[in-house]
Amino acid sequence: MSYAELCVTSNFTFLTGASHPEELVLRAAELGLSAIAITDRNTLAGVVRAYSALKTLRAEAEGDLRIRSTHQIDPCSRQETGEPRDLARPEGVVLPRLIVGTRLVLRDCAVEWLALPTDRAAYQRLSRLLTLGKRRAGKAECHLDLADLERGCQGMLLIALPPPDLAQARAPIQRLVRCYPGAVFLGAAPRYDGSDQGWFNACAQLALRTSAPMVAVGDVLMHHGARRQLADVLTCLRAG
Amino acid sequence: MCMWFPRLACDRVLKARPVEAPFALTLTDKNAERIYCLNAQAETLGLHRGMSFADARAFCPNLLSQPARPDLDARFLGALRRWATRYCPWVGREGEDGLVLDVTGSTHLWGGEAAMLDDMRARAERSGLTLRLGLGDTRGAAWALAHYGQTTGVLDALPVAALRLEAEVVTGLQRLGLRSIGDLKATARAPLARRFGPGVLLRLDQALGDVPEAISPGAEPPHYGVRLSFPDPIGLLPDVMSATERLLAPLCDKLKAQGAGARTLVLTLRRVDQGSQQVELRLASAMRDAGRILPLFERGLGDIDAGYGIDVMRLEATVVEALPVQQIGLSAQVQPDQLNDLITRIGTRIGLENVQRFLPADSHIPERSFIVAPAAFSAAESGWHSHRPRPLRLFPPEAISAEGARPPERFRWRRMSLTTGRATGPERIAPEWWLEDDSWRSGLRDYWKVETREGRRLWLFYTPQNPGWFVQGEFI
Repeated sequence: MSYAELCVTSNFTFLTGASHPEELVLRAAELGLSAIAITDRNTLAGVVRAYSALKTLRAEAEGDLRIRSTHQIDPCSRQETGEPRDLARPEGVVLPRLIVGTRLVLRDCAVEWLALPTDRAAYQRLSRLLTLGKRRAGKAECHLDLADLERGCQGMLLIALPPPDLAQARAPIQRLVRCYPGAVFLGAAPRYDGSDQGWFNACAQLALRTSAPMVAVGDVLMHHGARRQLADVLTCLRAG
Repeated sequence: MCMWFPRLACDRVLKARPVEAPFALTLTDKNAERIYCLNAQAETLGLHRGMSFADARAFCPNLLSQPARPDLDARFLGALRRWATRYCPWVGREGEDGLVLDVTGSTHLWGGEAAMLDDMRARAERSGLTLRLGLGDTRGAAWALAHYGQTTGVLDALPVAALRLEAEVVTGLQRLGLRSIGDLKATARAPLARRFGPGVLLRLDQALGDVPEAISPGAEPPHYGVRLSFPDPIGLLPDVMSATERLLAPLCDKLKAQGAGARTLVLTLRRVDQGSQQVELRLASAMRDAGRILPLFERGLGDIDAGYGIDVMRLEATVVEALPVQQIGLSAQVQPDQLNDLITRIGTRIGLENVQRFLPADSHIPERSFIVAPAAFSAAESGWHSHRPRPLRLFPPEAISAEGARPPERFRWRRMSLTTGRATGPERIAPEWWLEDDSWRSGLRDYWKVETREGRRLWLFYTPQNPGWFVQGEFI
């Protein structure tokens, strides 16, 4: 059974993601995922890097081209620190599809939304939505409301990431389901806190009530467990 | 009057171990050994204070020496101060090596001034102390007479240095030809004040009595000890208990007056055959409530061998802490007091350090989420927060043979065959990589709460990075 990761946070989400989009794409190829969506917080910036990495990867699969991520790059200074290392290249590898997307964090709503445009027009609408939000706010911020999503999300798949208190999630999901029937899903990410079974049960119930089908997401922050220390340090910096 | 011990430091050292040779105490000052104090023999050889020790050894090769201990000297002066209160109640320190006494009205007790001075000299000589005395109408005059005069007399003939002035002021006065206090008195005051500042005139006036100068006697630290002696020896436990009760009452009053509470109490019982026994009571919190302390003595007194009887009892609070008076509200908090009494009572049996309590620690690693502290020296904290279930018993991980990321259906643990009924989890706990911990080298742990059909509820974990299953705790 193939799996597509739909919720990936790269380092284009400031002080949250601990891996570059290239690394994430490469890892997805190694793991044999069918698709990967780079969804950074209120931005599409990471997608470009992921796309170019995927393009290089494809060229490499055909010819003998080396992509950047095989270089040993110091994650802080982004300088090469050693000789390029060749990765073991399995034969007949299936490269993942790249899904363009973003994670919309709203001002007036505890639910976070993964917006995945399905066509070019939807991509334009998403870009416009982000521009609108960034114009409202100062630097590095984006002020969007649920009402903006209700107006300008035609043609996108919306995946709701509910907060720990599921009761807050019901009303916003219902509002968007009414606007975009069939395009709203409920993302259930494991939390590894010992109560995942109960959490998934509650999510399933919510999905049933709001008629937003459940989707499995991983809420990825890093491409490899070795990045955990970096992720911890970033969390410390963010939380102060 | 003023008592000056010119060789206090040397006398203190030589008192314990007399030597018949030149002797010096040295103090390291700015990386150079300098002479701090000399005995009389060394002074006659021409050595003086402040000269470097190497020079002194060159002058006098058989010079004995020892490092100086100014802290012990200060303590010795404190003891001398207490001793001097035999002459008058008002005794203060004068610099590092002198005492100042206000003997007004107490000389007649010694048969006049001369008799008192003789008594002082005799006692100082007997204990091997060099003593110079000055008896004057004012503090300044007494100081001048002790340091530069002949105990009594007039100040006029004494040099200006006798006025407790700084060295450069003294030199300046001498340059003007003002060598004695008499010269200084005869000079016009205004130009003096203009040239040397008000200090000279103030010292002069103090010496002559025109400006008062007080003596501040050192305050005695409060002493928490009471004693009780009996006309007939006692030996029965109820008698000793009631005597302890009588001792506790004044001690507790004393503690209350000082706003203090006893942390350690020592009860010394002296028997008629001069043997003495001690009962030490260490309290979990500072206390001064006689009614609560008394029952805590019961156990210690039970072990006492009274022999032919006890004729003196002495109770002392050896460790004292501040214990301010507390407002008793309507909802008086009785709970902590009772707990402290319990800790004290258990502590008298097994040692106060062995009574421990758990305190929360800031870590999500189960083994590090608590610390154990001695109960008597820590306060209970209410910061226990646990969003996740934690077992009541936690032990070092015990390996079981199982495979896979899901809890095993059947497993053997401690020679018991167990069947999993229901498993809840996983709760993933990552190691604290910023700390070195050998037990967490296996990486992440996925904790599962496993309820077995046999009735035990265990806390299992799986290490995905180095596959293996372990039991770490048991819910009860």
